Amino acid sequence: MRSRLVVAAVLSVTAHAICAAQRAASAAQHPNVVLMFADNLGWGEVTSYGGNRGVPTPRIDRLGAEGMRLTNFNVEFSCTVSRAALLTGRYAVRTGAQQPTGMTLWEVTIAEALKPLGYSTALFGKWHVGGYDWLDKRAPTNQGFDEWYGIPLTSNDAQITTTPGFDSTKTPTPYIWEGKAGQPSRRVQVFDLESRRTIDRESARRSIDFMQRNVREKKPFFLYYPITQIHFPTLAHPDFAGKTGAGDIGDAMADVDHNVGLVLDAIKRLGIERNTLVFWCTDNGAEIRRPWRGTSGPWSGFYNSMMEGGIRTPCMIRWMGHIPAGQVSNEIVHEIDFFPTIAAAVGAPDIVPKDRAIDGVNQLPFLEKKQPKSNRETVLFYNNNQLRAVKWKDWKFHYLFAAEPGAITGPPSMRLFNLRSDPKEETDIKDFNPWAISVFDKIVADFVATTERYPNVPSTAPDPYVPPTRPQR
Amino acid sequence: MGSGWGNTITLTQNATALTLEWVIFTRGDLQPPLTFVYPLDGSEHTNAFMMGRGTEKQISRASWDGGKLVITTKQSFPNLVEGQTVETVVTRTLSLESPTTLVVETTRNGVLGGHASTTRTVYTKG
Repeated sequence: MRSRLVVAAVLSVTAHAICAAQRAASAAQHPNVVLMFADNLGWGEVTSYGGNRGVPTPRIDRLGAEGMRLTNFNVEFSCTVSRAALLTGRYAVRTGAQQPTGMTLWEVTIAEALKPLGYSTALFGKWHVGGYDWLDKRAPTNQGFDEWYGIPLTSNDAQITTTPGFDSTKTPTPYIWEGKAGQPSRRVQVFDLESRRTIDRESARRSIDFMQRNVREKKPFFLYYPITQIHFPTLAHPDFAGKTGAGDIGDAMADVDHNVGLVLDAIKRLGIERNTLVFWCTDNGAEIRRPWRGTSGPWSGFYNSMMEGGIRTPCMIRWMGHIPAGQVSNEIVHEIDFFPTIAAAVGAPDIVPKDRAIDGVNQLPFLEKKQPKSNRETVLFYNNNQLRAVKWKDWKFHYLFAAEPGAITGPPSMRLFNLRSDPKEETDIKDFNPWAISVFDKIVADFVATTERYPNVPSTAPDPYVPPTRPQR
Repeated sequence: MGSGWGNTITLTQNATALTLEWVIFTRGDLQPPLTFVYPLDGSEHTNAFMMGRGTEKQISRASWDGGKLVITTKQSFPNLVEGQTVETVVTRTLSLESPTTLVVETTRNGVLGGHASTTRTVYTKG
C-alpha cells in the first residue's frame, strides 16, 4: 500500500510538473494579445491621421510608428455591430447582433477561441453585444471572458440619472458592473456623468493589474480594452477636463492617449513588449451628436453612415520583432480580420470556427511584410440587414447612398466613387464606369450564396441557438 | 443604374449626328457640359471627357434598326485589375414611345466574372 502511495505521489508530482512545463512552453509560444478599441473616435482626432484639433496623441502615434499604421482600415458603421464583427470575425449581419438583443451565445468570440490554448481573458470597458437582457445571460463572462469590468451597454446611459424626470422606479438605474466566469456579475457603482469621466482610467488600471497577474503566473493573456471615449457624453477624466483648450473632445482625446500610454508602459515594464501583439483602433467613425461632434478628417460623413467618415477609422498594430516598425499602408483591412490574424499569430489557425461563414482573413503575412498586399480587396457594408455599400480596391459602390445617417439622399441612390481620386465621395462616376455594376453585383452575389449555406442568425434568436441544417452544396 | 447618361440630358438630332449634352458640373466648377456625338452614318466616333481620372475615351458606333437607334460604345479600363485591361461594351437602344417620350434600353456586358445587366430608362421631353 505504501509503495503504491509513493508511486501515486511521484506520478502526481510528475504530472503537475508536466502541466507546469506545458503552461510555460505555452506561454512562451503564445503571444499575449492586447486589443484596445476606442468608441466613436473619428479619423481626425489622432495626430498621425491629421489631428484636426491640434491635441497631441503621442502614445497612440508611437504605437503606430512601432508597427503598422493603416490608412484603409474598415469597420462596421455602428457600436454593437462593430463589436460583434470584431469579436467573431464575421460581418455582423451574419450574427444578427443588434443593440436591443445583442448576439447569441452560439457566436464564438476571440476570447472563447483562445481559452482552450490556456489564455486568460478579460474585458475592461464597454461590452454592448449582450442586449438589454444581458445579465447572467449574455454577459462577457458568457462569451469567453474570465473576468470583466465596465458597462454592459453604452456610454449615453451615463445621462439617464440626470435626465429631467428620471424616476428610478420606472427606469432602471445604469451601473458599472464587474464579474468573473461562473459567478453572477455584480454592481460596482452607478454609471452617471461623474463615473463616466473615470471609467476608462479604472479600466486601464484593471487592465494593468490583469496583465501583471498573468505575467506573474506565466500565462498568455487576451486583454480586450474597449475604451468608452470619445462616445457622447464626451466628458474626460478630471485630470484632463478643460486642459487642452480644444473642448470636451480634445480633453477626452488627451485622456484616451494617456490611458493607452498607461497600458503600453505596463507592457514595457513587464518585459512583454516582444511577446505582445497590440491593436489600437476604433469601433466606427466620428461621433456626430452635438455638442460633441467629432471630426472625420478628410472623409465625409460620421458614424452610423456608410460614408468613409463612418466606416474608415484609425488603426495601429504592433508586434515587436514580427511586424516591422514604421509601416504605413493604404491596403484594405477590416476589423473582422483580427480574429484569423490573432489565430495565426498564436500559432493556432484552427481556433477559427469551421462550422459557419467567417469573413475575416489572416492578415499576418501582410503585417509582417512577407507580402506587399493585404489579403482583402472587398468590404461589404450592411445597415443591419440592408446592404448599403461595397468597397472593391479603390472603388466604392453605394447601393443606397446616404450622406448623413438616417436620411437617404436624393437620386441617384446608386453611386460609384473612386476613393483615391474622390475621397469625399462627392462625384458619382457610375455612368462613366459601366464595368462597375457587373463587378459589384458579383461580390454581393457571392456573399449571398454563402448565406444560403450558412443562414444569417436572426436578431431575435434566443439561446441556445441551433443553426438550421442545410444541404451542403 | 439608369441609361448611363444621367437623369437630365439634352439630345439634339440632325441629318448627320445625334448629340448628347449632359450638365454634370455646377456653375462654380467652371466646366462645360459633357458632350457626346454619335454620327448617324454608321462611322466610329471617339468621345473624350474628363471626370477627374485623366482623359477617358469612349468609342461609339450608331446604327438604325428600323425606327430604333442602336448605339454601341466600347471603353477600356487599363489596370482595373493589376496588369489587366477591362473592356466594356454598352449597347443603348433608343426608341420613341411618343413624340415626347424617349425610351433607352441599356445593356452593359459582364466583366471579371460578373453578369451583364440591362436597364430601361424613360425620358420625358421637358
